[in-house]
Amino acid sequence: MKSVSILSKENAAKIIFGICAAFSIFAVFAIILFVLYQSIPAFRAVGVLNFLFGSTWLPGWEDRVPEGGAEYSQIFGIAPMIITSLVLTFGAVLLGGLFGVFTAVFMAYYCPEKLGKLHVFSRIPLLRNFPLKGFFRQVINLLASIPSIVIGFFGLVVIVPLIRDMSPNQNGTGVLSAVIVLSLMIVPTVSSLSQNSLEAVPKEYYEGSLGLGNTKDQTVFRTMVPAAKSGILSALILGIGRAVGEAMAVYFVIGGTPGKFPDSLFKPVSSLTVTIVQEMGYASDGSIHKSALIASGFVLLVFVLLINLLLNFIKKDKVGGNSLFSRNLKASAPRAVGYTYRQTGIGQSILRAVSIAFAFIILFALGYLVVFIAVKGIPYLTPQFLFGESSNANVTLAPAFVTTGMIIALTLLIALPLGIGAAIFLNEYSKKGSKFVKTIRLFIDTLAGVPSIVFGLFGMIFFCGICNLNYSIAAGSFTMVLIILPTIIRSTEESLREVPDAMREGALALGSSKVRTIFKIVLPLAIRGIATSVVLSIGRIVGESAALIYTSGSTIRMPNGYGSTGSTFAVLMYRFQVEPVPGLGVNAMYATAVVLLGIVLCLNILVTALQKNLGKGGKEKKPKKESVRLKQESKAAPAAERA
Amino acid sequence: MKKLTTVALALCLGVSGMALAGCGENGGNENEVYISGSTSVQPLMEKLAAAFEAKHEDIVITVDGGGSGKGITDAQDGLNDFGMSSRALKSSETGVKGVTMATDGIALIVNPECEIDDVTNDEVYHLYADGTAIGGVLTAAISRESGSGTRGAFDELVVNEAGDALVDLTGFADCVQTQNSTGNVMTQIATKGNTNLLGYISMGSVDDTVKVLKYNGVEATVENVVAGNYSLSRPFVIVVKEGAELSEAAQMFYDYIFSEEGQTIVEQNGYIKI
Repeated sequence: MKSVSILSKENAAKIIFGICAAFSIFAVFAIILFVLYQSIPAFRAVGVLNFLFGSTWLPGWEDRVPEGGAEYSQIFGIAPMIITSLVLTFGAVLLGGLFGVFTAVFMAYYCPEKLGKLHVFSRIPLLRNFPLKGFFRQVINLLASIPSIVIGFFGLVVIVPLIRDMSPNQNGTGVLSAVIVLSLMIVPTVSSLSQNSLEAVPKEYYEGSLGLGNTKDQTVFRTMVPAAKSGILSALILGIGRAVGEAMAVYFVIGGTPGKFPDSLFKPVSSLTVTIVQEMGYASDGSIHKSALIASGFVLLVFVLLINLLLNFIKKDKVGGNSLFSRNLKASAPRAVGYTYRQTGIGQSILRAVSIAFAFIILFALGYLVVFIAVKGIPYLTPQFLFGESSNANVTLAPAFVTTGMIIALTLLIALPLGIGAAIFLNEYSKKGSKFVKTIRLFIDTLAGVPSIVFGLFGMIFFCGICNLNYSIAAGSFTMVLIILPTIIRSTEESLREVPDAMREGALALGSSKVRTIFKIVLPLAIRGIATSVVLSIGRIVGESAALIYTSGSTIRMPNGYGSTGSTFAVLMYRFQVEPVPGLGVNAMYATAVVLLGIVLCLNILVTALQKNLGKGGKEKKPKKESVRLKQESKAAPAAERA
Repeated sequence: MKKLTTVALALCLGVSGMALAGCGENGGNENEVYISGSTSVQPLMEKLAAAFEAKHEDIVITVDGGGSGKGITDAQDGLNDFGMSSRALKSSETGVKGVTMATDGIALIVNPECEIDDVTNDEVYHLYADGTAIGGVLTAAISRESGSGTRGAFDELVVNEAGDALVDLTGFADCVQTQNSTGNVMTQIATKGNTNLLGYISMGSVDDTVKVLKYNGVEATVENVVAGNYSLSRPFVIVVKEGAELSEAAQMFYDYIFSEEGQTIVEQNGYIKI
């Protein structure tokens, strides 16, 4: 055997790609350690048990406590906020999960490809060819990519007044409003992932069930849904992760009073995330208050990590279901069955009606949101407000264009090489089933599940504090790198996997090195998948608010470099909420929301266009089976990525 | 492809280098003034800054919110040129000195469609303390978050007949929600149909989306605050780090606030000049 120097080009490349892949592990550990490190003063002063189980939260009262005294234990207790977070999550998964799963069933089995399939529309030439299924898919994707701050704002101006009218004590803010808003946010996650797993159930199950004389409804609800249950369960757990960590959307509608237990649906309370959003701004550096806020972030992080581990546990055996959750098939003793001629399947028919109704309710909610915000906001979108020079006398959105562009550029510049490198390592270098790769995957999934407010806290502690970047666009961009990295890795890996092995073997046989094969053959073939990941990342950056407020600040000024503070559209919207624009007031928020919706809509169209292209490209080069699978996976990608 | 990679890498390094270099200069700019703190003082400070910037085009003033607490701690930590607070400094807040730049009333506000016009101190106290509805109509209230200067002043000033102040309570009634800015309070109150909500904001921030209530029969006007008839008032304070010298630009703006022109702006915007 030829001895190979460890520093050869091939090995160097492998090591570099390996480091890229291992970066996620470092990132997760860094987040846990630094957030924990800053939480310790609070845990010490308050006592871990007092902190977790105490039920008062009185941050103004520290100066009534003697320095270092034991009475901190009576000031900082987060039990009510933990309970609130759990109640919200439970409610959202119940409501949003129900809607999500039924919408998925509708999408997978009841939604006709073309509107013309429905008898009523079959004669109307204009509507006949309307692609209903594609339209619904777009609706779910769009709902997935609407920034949380826009959904929160919609909740404040539409859902809260609605709930207030229903409420016995005329209070709209509180648990119920927050649950509805959160449900709206997790429906796309749950529905697109459930749809994926429903569609992955072997066709034979469907045909077999029909062949035995079941109706379609019976087949769907008694055979297909149970067969897909482990996938649906994973979808619900991802939904839990999303709901427990959501900050901005809840902040708008929950009423924000810490230290209260959520014993009524119509009572203003505060969750872990909302308290951080409300109080982080003025908690002074080095105070127990700030440390206590970071510690509540740490508690949140622990919850999310546990949820991720649970998910990993369930995912283990994807095909046959997990041993814990799959039904044991027992040979049942043959029983004499008398012939009955009663009609069966009424329950399933009702479920069908429910799934159709739920899908249309989701459609209506999204439509209402978009139209409502557009109607209210577009009149205020003057050229002056969009592009005028922003100053104290005249606040405009112009700096947000520049800041958003700068953050996108720097973030992608760092995250793309890292993410693509990691994906190359995972797909091209790793051995199947290796422990290292499994660990990396676990950490990438974990990183994807970390709530954005925790990223914000980490960015504030690490980039702004320890790296001494202060509030700056650079600190914001570095934080965003961590947030979008999992998206890029997953999406790139997916498209690398689609490249047929024959291409690699051909290149290697012709004498090209592995690195050359990767860069010359594999990557160019995967370029569309990478492009998709770029677009998805841009969407994530545009919609992010919680993580950026604590890292890049929320100024109204035009930034003058990566060292200065700057606000993206979503952050400006938060700022407009906190400090109304003179002369525009709440209308500035509507106008900014319109801009955000516009950007998100364009990005969604771009993703669809890219994927259509991808499908076509695939058909020419690959065997047909491949491209069909590709199409199915890629269509669900945008919604899934957000999870 | 190799070339491309090299170029991309070089670009990557270059930009991050620039980014880091840029960070070094952060805050070092001579002509930038950074002010942070109370969201109640902020609208006034922004007006003053706008007028000042119109006269001195080379100076850029950034006014950030965050609450009085942030204004004071930022000043202590030297993170701003000076801070804004909407309450007098507490004795525990050392290392900084406060200079009153204006006086402001705290207006009690409700939805314009609400039928209540007048409330007493006892009614307000009990709505916040134990949720007793006012006139059977105002069943819920909005408080500010604990770092707010307006909240600090309000909680100290609202005293019931028995002499208890809101500030000594460890928790409010269940009907009290918390919003962390003047803007949030106004949005909530102004939302159509929210006729059951009571809130409080800086008098200078009042606009026609909300209705101002009389407090103990006294109208919330500048005259009544000056005459001492309207008891809900507090100072707007500029917070400066003790022993530190203001930058030239910050000193110019500081002087401008206390100049006749600056104080005229204070008065024009519904606040009380010193």
